[in-house]
Amino acid sequence: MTALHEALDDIAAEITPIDPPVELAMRLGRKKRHGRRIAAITGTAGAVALSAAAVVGIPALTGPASSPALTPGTASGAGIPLARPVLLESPQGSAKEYGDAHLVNTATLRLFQRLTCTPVPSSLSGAVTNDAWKATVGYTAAQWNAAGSEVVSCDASGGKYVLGKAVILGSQVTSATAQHLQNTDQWVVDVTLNSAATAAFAQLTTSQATRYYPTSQSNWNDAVLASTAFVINGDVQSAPVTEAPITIGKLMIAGPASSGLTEAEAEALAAQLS
Amino acid sequence: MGAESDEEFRDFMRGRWSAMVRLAYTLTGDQGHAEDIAQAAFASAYSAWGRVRRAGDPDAYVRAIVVHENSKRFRKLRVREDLRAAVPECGTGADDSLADRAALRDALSRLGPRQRAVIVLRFWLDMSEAETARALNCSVGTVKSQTSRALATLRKHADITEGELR
Repeated sequence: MTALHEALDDIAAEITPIDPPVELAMRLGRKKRHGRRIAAITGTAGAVALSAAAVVGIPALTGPASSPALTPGTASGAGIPLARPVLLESPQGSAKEYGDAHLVNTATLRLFQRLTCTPVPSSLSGAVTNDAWKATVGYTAAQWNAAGSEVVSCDASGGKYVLGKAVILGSQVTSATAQHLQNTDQWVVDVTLNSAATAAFAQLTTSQATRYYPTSQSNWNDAVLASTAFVINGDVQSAPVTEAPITIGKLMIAGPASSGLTEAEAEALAAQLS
Repeated sequence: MGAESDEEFRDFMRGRWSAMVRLAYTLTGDQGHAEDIAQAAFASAYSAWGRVRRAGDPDAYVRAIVVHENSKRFRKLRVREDLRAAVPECGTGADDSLADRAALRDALSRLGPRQRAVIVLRFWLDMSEAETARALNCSVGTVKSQTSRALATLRKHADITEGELR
């Protein structure tokens, strides 16, 4: 036993932990399970990270584009990569909405209420989402890619969203490259934004990190408002929560902490974004 | 998830809660923060409990999350917190080894969160340099440099020799 070890033993013995909050942890755990697509945006030393457990939908990106009518064929390239969800109906349990319906205009709210999002069975790894919902909505490709309006959307688990105006468009991504994460078997995508997008994203994440993130653990409405959705071909790929302001215009998209992204998934995502 | 596996989780958390809070406390120096981190880690374990218990080592899983949650502090914020504002009282000098330990505790509180994490992992959890690098998601080189800087700080403030330190 070294002196250092003993000193650390002493520190550990300084406190008397409270009784284990078992039921609370289980409640949080259940919430986490249901809201798994909402992960976290975290910074890394030097750069900043958009770490998204949410990128679970990504394997699907390697599949064929499922809805030709909605594939972004316009000049904006990858469509709308990032927009802020303002309303979310979680697929699990009761059909309860989270977020703030007051932020949604009446027409969009009506569309949201009419919309049904169907989960993609997990066994089906080819398709991003069940695209049936797009017929209900009837947006054109140009509408998906427009910067100025609210849209409704679905994710692969059947989550239903109203997304606020796009914060960053695909055309504003200056580079997206797949990178191997040091000392792991995981891959990430490094994304660099142009200056306009950097400023817009800084403003959004600063307001989210200060206004909504602190209460996002206990308040599910705030958790939705603190998040940012990745949209590809009109589908929400993931909606990670912003933990800290991201002001330098560099993001890192990581897979779920447990499994991460494979090289192929990271390459596919980078190709989609750049 | 069945009632049986819920009961297993309850048993696991009751049994391991204290140890995880203490680990988080050695890393953060703040009890409230330590309890938050431990709670988040157990919640994570429960959210994936089926998979975690099948993997066979829930303790390692929760510990990894505690370390990871703590790392977020120094990855996210490049602000150095003063981990323990209060200087622990030193012994009266009657017992040299007690006084040394108190000095060491004080010196540990002067380390930044990253160096402190490296020290806790390497010398308390007895992890290798490679294991520490993996846990902190940094390179072995970083672990080495952070360790040597941390040990230098400890030596300076605790007034002890290398041999006594480890």
